[in-house]
Amino acid sequence: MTVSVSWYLILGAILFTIGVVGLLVRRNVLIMLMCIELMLNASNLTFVSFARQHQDVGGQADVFFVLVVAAAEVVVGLAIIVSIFRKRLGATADDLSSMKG
Amino acid sequence: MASYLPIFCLIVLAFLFAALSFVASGLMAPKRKSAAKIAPYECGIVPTREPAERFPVRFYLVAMIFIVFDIEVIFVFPWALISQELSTFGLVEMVVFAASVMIPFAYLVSHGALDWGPIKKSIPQLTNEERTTTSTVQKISVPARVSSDSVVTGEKVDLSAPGDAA
Amino acid sequence: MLAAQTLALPKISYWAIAPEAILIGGALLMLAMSATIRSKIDPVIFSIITFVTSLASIGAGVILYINVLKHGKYLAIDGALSVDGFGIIVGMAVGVAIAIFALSSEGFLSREGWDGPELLALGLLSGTGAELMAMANDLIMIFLALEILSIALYVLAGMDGRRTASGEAAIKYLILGGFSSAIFVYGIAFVYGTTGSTNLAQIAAFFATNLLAHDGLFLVGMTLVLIGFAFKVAAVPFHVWSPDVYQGAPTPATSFMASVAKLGAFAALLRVFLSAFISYKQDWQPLVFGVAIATLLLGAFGGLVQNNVKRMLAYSSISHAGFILLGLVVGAELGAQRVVLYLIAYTFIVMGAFSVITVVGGKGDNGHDISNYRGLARQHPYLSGSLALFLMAQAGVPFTVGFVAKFGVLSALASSGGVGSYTLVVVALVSSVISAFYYLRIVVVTYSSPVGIGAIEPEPLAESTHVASELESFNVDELSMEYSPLKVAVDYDIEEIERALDESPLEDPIGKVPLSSTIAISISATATVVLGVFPGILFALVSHATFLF
Repeated sequence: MTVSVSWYLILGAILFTIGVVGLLVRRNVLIMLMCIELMLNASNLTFVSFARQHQDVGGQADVFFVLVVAAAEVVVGLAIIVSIFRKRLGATADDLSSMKG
Repeated sequence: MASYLPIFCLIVLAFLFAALSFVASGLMAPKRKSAAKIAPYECGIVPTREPAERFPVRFYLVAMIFIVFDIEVIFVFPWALISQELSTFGLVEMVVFAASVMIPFAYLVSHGALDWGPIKKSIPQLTNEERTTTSTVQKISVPARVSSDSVVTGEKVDLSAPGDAA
Repeated sequence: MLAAQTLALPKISYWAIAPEAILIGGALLMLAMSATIRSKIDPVIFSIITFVTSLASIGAGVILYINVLKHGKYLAIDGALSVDGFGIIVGMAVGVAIAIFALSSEGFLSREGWDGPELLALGLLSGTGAELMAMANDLIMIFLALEILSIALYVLAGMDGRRTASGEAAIKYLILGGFSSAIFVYGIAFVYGTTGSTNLAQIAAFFATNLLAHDGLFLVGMTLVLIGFAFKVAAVPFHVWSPDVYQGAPTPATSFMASVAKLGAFAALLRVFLSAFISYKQDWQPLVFGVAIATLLLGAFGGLVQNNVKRMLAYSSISHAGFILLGLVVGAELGAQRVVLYLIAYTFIVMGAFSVITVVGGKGDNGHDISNYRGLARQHPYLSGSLALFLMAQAGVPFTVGFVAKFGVLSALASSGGVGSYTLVVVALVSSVISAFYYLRIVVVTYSSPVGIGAIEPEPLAESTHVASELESFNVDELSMEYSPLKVAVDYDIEEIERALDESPLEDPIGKVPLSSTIAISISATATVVLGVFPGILFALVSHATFLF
């Protein structure tokens, strides 16, 4: 028995779910960013699996673009986090509550 | 599938060991709580200062610039593989791409992103140049209208430009 | 493997990407100028460059448009871009929004003393993403354009380093935006997996000849793509970020989020669901139907309890998103055209309103509480008059372009005769009437008496504004104890103080309205009235707003 494509899809779904749950329950902004990365990489895995299934190189090329976007998002995210929390003690999402209503 | 069996067994064993350790320590360990044991660091010494020093912002900045170049390479590698076939077209596209990365990089460098050395401490301005006799008189005449926002939110009304700290 | 065979190079039509390339060129030019010129550059120069760049982009769009009218629509860049009326018209609307943004930012930059080109350069880059989104014909292309649009906006939201709210807005926008992007791209992966392509034309062709035996995976992918879009356009229940982000971001950035981001996202949403996923209309229509109703109602009711004008406009833009979703419910060509009409109208109204708000915000960009608008009409009749015009246009008062937009969408919905379309029309009208309350509240406050006695303002709900109004009700002596300047002032000649009090009975936090802002407001106001009185122009324009597929 070989490891079929659906195994990778299930793994991707699990990773994506971990990312979603982590984003929802964790309060540290850096870890929330990591969870977004996890979700994007789960999508990448799904892309590659489907590309393998279709014998199509297009899906693998898409992974490049997603990777780049993920990196850009991290760079901007880190920059914003650093600029905010330079004067604060911890990087916790609950502290960010000056706006309500 | 049979070749994956050892790995599977190992995973099961690892989980079992972790679970058993938890259960066993929960059942067997004596429970005598004291303030020192509940404290974050149970080593007999009360922590006196914040544990981790934070990295200077410069490290983050260099890391971020590194990521940008790291990612640029993703596109350069495929191009390098088939640059012969792509010939002039590929070269022109690559130059355009590289230029659009390098111009912002030049902007960063010119604004001091790579300046190392002693960090210049900004000296807070003690007096506000914009406060003159007339503005003071006007301020008294209009108490809450202008100033209430800054008072309530507790923000300093800082007149310096926002972006210069980066 | 690959090296042996000769490569088939894609044919690149540089004309097709000219509007976007011009915008990127403008942004790079500003960065290069700022990098090479050592002396301080006046923000006016950057604003002019941005303005000229956006005009050039619109010009390229016009040339492209005429070309399409003459020779027909075509696919460019190996099928990744669809050069058709729909994409080009939305792209030109983006150009208009950037032009007005450049004008209203000029006053903002000078007032706040920001001398860098970042705000405008990021605006141009973000606009590039929106224009690409409007023309993109490939799901991955849409994703990339969406990220170009969003990542620049994350930074724009956090640019104001003085206010903590700005950084907070940026973080909230980044985390939720990244979340939605991840959901979106996961949805794309499933669509790719089931149809074998990310190209919208090929997906449509696939569904024209094939029937999926098990379409569960595709439905999951389609839903995830819809959720990703719903986040970006702030449709209920994915709207929670929008009031906070609108409030916290610097006002020109807020105007950008309200106009350009929505233009791009809605254009892509329509193109994806009306071209590639049209054969699954039975499945997505109920979803959009429910989301539209929730969005319309929440946008109307949410705005009633706000005291911050930027938050009010956030809820207003949620309500507008509901209206635009109605166009998606109508579906087909008519729905798309009416949505384009709505988007054009909305661009002018919203950019105009935010241009006024930028000016009223005053130095520090803090004066966005509704109390700051009290008595605005007495000192700045032009500002308050145009603000009233824009707000009335948002409410859909006849002879403004807002009425034309709402009428266009609702008449298309009523004539479509789909299930529950009349219910939607009624909900939309109710939402329109309710949201008119908070528009009117702002207008009434601007025309009420300047000093706070007997004001019309109801009891504020938000905690911070509550304290603010308490402070306001203090009498002069009590409050001035807080300020040491009083002690200084005691030394002065009492006559001098009295004379100063006579000359300026009320300090004007706005000051002189910058010329560029006046121009921005005038352009928007003129368009709002002219297009409202002569709606034929708009209807003629959008009749060419069709998809390639």
